[in-house]
Amino acid sequence: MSSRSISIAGSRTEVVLYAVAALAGFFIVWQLLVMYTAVGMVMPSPIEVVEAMVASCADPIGSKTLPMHILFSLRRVLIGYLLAVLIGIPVGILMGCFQVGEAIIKPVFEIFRPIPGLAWIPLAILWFGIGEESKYFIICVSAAVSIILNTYEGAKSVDPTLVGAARMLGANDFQVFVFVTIPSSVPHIFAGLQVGLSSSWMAVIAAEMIRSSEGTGWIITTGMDSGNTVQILIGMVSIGFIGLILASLLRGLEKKLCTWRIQGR
Amino acid sequence: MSKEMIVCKGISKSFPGANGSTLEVLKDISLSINENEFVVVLGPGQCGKTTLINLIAGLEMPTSGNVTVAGNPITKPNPDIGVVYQKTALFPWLSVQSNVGFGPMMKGMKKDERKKIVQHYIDLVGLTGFEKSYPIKLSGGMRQRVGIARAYCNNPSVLLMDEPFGHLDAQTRYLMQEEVVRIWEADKKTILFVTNNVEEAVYLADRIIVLSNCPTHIVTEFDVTLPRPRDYVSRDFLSLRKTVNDSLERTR
Repeated sequence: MSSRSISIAGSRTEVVLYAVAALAGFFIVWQLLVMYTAVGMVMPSPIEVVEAMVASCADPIGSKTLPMHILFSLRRVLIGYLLAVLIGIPVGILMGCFQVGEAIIKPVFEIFRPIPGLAWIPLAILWFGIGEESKYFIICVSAAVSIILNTYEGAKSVDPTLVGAARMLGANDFQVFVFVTIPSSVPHIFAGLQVGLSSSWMAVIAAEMIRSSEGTGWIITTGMDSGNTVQILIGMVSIGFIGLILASLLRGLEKKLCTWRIQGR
Repeated sequence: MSKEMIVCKGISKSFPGANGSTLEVLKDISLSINENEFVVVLGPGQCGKTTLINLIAGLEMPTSGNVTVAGNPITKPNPDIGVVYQKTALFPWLSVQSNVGFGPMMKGMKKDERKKIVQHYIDLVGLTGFEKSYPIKLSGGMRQRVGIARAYCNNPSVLLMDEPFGHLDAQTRYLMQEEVVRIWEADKKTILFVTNNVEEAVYLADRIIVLSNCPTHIVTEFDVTLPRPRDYVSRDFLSLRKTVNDSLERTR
């Protein structure tokens, strides 16, 4: 080991090892608690949950198998989230780059901002019914707020010296926008995309509780209605893992686009 | 008589201050800099040196007076003027070669042609081998080299350097002073270099313009005729350094 790294978790393989060890530790503690303490009366063991998850890949919960439930939720999240990205980034940039845009949009946005996505559920049902559209709407509204906010901050916090430097090198307004404002906002935009992604996962659960016959949120709700703890945990664990995978994919994309921010040799 | 490249005629600059007062930063500055001349503007800490640079660059407008560069009145940022910044102002998301090629790219120069001149200036400033590095991975001195190459690559007729070595450690600073003279001798430009360091001024300049503190005006000028490369500890160097130093206003 080099003397430079003071932290114990130094290299990449070590970080992965620690992560695996921590997760394994968590499941072992859970298993032991269930086996030897009163926790066993209110909680299934992780082994039971995993077995039930594997089983539900073939035997449907309700009308669909677990992978289908996950795909349904995933489709809702991705559609709602993509809409939020398509709306949020341009709106944030309009607010951050143009004074007129800021003057017009910001007051309206500030009113909508404190309203949680879930507060839109009644209106969504009135407007779009209880079908898929109202779910997309709720997810989109929930995710859009943080995407707009972070994009706006990013576009606003462009270093004026860099804008001056670009102008001195002959860049016109449009070139400053494309070559300075946008790239310097990218890290902020990604922060917004991450928060937005977790908001849309939260929203899908709530949206599926409204009225649906499939999805991870539905698994949890019906599990609750029938007092089936295993089923509730299946829903929760699925959400956890899918969320983790999506967030990592996004982080990978960010890393690729923002190599310039990575320090080191 | 050689051509006058930078001419400032009676420029003043005031900013609105607190409770309706005005803060006068520059007062009646007139100067003229000849083609390929290396002029150092020397002034104490907080005076309006950067404001002077911004006015000549066209990033700000003077309250009164006017500026011409190569005979053209300056009313907006002009790519005929290159600026090297104290904090480098490199685009962190661009590699060394893309930073250096930024100006030509804005002009729409073709990729092959651009690549050639970019490489020429990267080689000139001694960064061969770092073409694809991002600024975050470079040392302070190397970043300044990129800044100098970026300004040169746009082929401006004048270069404004705003305390470019102010943030560097002493050793790197000496090295960069030698480098900037070497680069200037290899590719002559009209340079206006701002500093608060007397030794740096005497080492670099053909002519030193001494500024006072706020509101900034010109105190005096020195022609520096010492042959290059200059020796920081030769007798002539040290005695001129003392004379220039004595002309500087003392402020607490």
